[in-house]
Amino acid sequence: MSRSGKESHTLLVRALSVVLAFLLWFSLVLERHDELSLTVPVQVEGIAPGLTLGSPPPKTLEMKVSGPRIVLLRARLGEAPVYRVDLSRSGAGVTTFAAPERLVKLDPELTVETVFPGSFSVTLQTQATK
Amino acid sequence: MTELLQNRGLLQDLLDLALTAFVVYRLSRLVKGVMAQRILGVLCLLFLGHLLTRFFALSAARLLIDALLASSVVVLAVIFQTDIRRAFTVLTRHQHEKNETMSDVIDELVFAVASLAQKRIGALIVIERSIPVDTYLAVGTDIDAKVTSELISSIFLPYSPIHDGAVIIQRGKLTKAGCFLPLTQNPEVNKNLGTRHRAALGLSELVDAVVVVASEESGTVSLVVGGKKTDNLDPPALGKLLRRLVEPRWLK
Repeated sequence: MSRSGKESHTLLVRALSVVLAFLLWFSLVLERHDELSLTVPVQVEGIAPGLTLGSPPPKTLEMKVSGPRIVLLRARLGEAPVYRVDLSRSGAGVTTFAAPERLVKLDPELTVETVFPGSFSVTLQTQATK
Repeated sequence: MTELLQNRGLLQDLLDLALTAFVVYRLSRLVKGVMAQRILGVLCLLFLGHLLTRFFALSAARLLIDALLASSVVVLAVIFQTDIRRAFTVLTRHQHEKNETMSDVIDELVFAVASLAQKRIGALIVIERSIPVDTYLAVGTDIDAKVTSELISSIFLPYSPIHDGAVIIQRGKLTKAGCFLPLTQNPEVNKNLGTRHRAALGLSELVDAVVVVASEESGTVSLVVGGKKTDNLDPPALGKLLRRLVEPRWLK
């Protein structure tokens, strides 16, 4: 190998070493745990015919989740999770929903740290007939 | 100081990255030639693949890539066991051998010059230092051999076809012989000085090389560096001077 060939080879090996070190370091950094705040929209569905919402649920839930940064990045860039309030089995009256985070579909590697509100109530009332 | 402490995380990451790059580079040097580039390239692709499959949650592909990454250390150790063994041997002997190489080259050179001077055979030997001498050399024969007193002596023997001209030592190897050097243009140089000495002075005025001259007329040895000549050197003095002027890094 000529001197210039040897120099360019050394330069390439150095550059590849830096790239490999960066990728190794970056993959470790992305595995570090962090927190992310998510705003989860609340959708009401399955209201039985003849019933109407007296007091609706909150429009959104504020959730703080923790997990590896790469999974948090995926959660932030991907489709936002939705909390579906299923009222198909509820009759007229007040229904309370506690620990709503259990019904939000999140990546299994993520842990819900806090949810606001932690519980809420929905009132269904009979539609007035003419 | 407070800012420094606040930026500790960033500094830690930078240090981590720099150390990792250094270790990867040093390890890659254990493998010779283009193989190091290929291995580094493949490892980069595997890490990139790991990141992408992790981000896009491609479980099967990730399992495969992670298995390859995890086993790569063992696989590389098995494939390159000979290179690794050689590298560890070199690592432990490196410093010792470096000094040994320098000592060998200078000893061989001093021995050859002393013996040639004693027999009144002229010799002109150039030891390249930090500035390359190639651009100032005319003609010459490529040799690329280990510096030995026998080789130097045989080159300068009168019946040798390349005895006229200089021998060039570059990075600890005898690379050329029969090279013509530029003569000094200094008008203050003694007119009785022979062509060998004029050539030695001429080259040393242009580059930082060390030139050793054995005179066939007087049987003395001179050392020329930076346009200055030191005459009548006995072998121990020549060796001492050469060890002072030629650093090991110029002989490797």
